[in-house]
Amino acid sequence: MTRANQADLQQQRIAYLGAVAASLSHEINNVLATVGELSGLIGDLADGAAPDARAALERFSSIGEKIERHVDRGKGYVASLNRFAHSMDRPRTAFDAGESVAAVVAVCERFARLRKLTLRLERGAAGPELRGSPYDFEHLVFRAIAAGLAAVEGGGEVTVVLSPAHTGAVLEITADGQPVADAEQETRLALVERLGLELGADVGLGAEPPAVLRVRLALPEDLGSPEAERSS
Amino acid sequence: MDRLRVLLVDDEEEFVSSLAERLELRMIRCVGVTTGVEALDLVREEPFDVVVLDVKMPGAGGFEVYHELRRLDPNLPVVLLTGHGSRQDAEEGKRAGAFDYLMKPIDIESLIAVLRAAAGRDLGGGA
Repeated sequence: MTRANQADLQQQRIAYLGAVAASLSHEINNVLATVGELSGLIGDLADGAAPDARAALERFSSIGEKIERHVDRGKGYVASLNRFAHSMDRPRTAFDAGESVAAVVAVCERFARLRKLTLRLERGAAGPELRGSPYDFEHLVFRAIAAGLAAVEGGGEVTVVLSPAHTGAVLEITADGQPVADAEQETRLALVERLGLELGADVGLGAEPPAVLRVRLALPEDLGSPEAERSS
Repeated sequence: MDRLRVLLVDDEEEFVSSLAERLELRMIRCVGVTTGVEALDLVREEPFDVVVLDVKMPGAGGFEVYHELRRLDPNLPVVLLTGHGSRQDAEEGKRAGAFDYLMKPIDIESLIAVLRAAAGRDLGGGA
């Protein structure tokens, strides 16, 4: 790989972390804004409530439950953010690919929602286990889902399926709906292919009617490591 | 004087409902919706003094809705709501004619001050 290509790939790896952090922090901010309004509402109602007003107490309790639900939602986003931050701690380790894919899908749900798309994940209860860089694997999954989300118009559906294989795992991303003509899609798919090949995957990309786009990544159990290659 | 009429547009449902209720408690008439399409339909149907609009929304994004609002009623003041990551977008919105922008989470007294300034009048209706 040329120095320019390496620099470009490194830039994409950092941009991915930026996209994840921006998405999760946006959601956390929304949680804080909602909790702020709900708690403000409690204060407003308390100011206007009669001292023995039973109805006001019931209302406080109902708002309190909403706050609790949003705090739980916020905790989930903070846990995800923390998980992604730590995914680059160890360049090579054994990890649960199912958990990794689920975490990336959770982050991408916001992007899907913004585009009015449905994003679905199908996977087993646990595993398969792979070995390599969780960060690079999740980056690949993120870029593949991003290509799927960019392929169809609002109302469409993107399905992510992770299956175990005797040599590792197979990840398939299928986009169904009305196709979108997007000049940048070729670049997105080229990046998915490049990242997939870096990890030693067999990469299949293209339209498979009725699917607008199908990305198939047959991943080895021991993923290639761009980090290791760079340092060698 | 008539009560101030505010249209609040944000895809966070409970943010919208609780903020709308808080404004109502302050004698500001507030209708809250969670999509740009609903907002545009409402503006076509009834008069509002100010629109408070989230910049990042699913489907028709905040700016798309903003430009359509400007087309429907160029004199209708729009206050943009934004998170930290979208501050630059909000600055651009202000340069494009939005009355002002506020960062989420918002301070309700700051919001009311901006609403009052945007509508160009003191809050009425017994407040």
